[in-house]
Amino acid sequence: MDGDGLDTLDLFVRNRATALLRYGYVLTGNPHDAADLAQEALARLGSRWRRISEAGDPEAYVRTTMARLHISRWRRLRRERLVAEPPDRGYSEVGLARIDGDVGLWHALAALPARQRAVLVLRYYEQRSDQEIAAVLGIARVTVRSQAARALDKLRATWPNASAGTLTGRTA
Amino acid sequence: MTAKLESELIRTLAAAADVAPGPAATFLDQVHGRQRQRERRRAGLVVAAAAAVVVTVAAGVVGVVGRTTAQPQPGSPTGGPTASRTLMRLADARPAEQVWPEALVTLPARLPDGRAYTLIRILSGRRFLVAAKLAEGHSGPGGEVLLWEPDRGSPRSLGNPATPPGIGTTRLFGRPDVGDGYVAWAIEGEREVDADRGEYQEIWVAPLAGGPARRLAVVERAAIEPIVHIVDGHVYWARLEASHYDIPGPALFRVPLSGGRVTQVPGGRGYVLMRMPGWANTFGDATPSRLWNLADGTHRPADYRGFVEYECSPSWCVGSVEGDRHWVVRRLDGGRTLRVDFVARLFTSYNENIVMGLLEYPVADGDGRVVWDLRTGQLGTGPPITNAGYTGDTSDAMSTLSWLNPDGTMTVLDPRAIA
Repeated sequence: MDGDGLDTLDLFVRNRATALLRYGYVLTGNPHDAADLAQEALARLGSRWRRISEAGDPEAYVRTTMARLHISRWRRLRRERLVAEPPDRGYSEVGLARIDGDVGLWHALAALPARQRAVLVLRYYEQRSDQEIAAVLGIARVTVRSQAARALDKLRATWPNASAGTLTGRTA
Repeated sequence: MTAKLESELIRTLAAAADVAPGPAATFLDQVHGRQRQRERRRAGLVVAAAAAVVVTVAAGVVGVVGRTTAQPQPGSPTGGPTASRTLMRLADARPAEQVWPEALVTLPARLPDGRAYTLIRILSGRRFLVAAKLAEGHSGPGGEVLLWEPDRGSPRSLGNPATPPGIGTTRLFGRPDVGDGYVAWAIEGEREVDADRGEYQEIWVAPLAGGPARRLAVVERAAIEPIVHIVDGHVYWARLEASHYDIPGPALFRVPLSGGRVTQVPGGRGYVLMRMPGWANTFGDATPSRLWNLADGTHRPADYRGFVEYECSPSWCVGSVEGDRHWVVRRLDGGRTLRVDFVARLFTSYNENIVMGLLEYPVADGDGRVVWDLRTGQLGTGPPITNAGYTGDTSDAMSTLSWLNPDGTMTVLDPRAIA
């Protein structure tokens, strides 16, 4: 990659890092893994910058890579770390307190397998259709639906309890 | 409640994103650092591949290496020019019942007591191992495993694990196994309180001939893979010890069928269990990648580098390549890499020459099932799954394909019955 390419990639990273970290945060549930995920996807973009940027939508490539990395490469390393190391109290409590009791739902999301969580994030954060989610994750639509159904099922079972219990615990 | 939950999800995710920390000052430098690491790693792989070719030529098997289809390039599971050619076309498929009528079994769609169920395994003839599904409103099977001979009446429960205190609904977790006269299975439960303690899973075993089920192990905090195997008088599973995303550290564990102490399997670090009973493979991007026959202790090389998602049988690996939804199948002996012209999530089965999958039809709002005999090249399909008819069944996890018929029966294709 030549100097011009690096400069352009740098510009892209500077302009889009915040948005990608936000996306990584809702995908992974904590800022450390969000940064890991975004950096890894951007590094892969860097290796293919010219081809992908010429194709016109490097951010779509990065977001797709982030979702797939989170599931495929890391899916088997699931929740242990995410649950064991919740977001630092300083920002999370101040921030999440603003969402009016849904801290419990946020914590319930942390107990989902990576693929189920990614499906929900793509559907309810990215507002993508099941067809689009299938394309992003490289899975069948029927798998999208089954994963979403299982995830919602689990959230229904745990959310009210998590909402009451965990919110109290974290603010104690 | 679903609509409320969905609206809360939208609000919660948006709000969480709003409070996500921004990039650190070193963020860009770290991206460049990873990029350099990747390039060094790739350069190393090219050198290693070149060395391997030299060794192969020296060994006098140039004929194999010389075939354009034989040697995939590092990091490119689609391999050489022939491999990238579409070799399996959906247009060539025929209904599965026409291709393999001998492999189809028809069952009632519900147990005699009215419960829905998931088929775990066809034991023999008309003997089935099933898991009763949870009540309406929940998806998937619960933890109860039953032995059912429909022609002889009601099923016999082999074990119905009690829900431990503090754990909510328990479910069957992944794929049970049958061997040495026993069935082994795992259940997972959701914590009703103290969710930060992480996962809760149990390993259970029961004799097929009758007798009490036994809880062999409780696994907390560490994730386990959704597969258990019975090998040589022991139940095996893979536990994933993830101290950091970049350091995958799975390991195999086992416990005697008769109960006792859980021990780590010697040499099992870095391995996870395959769908094929009695086999394990190295985890993730491990180099060299290998398959391990747990029963006889032999290993064989496998090449699944570059796959972002994959499964292996003892003879083939199926996987998807980044940016390409058309999966490929690669022979482990270096012979062929095949690509399909349809979009499907493929998976291996208990018949090592049979690959099955859930496919997307290019038109119409429906999905379907596909079965592919890698040895003969025959391709069979099940009926489409429409939105209205979707049942959330997990037959793909059980290594059979099943579908509900309009007359209230269920048809099951047993890959082991394909000669």
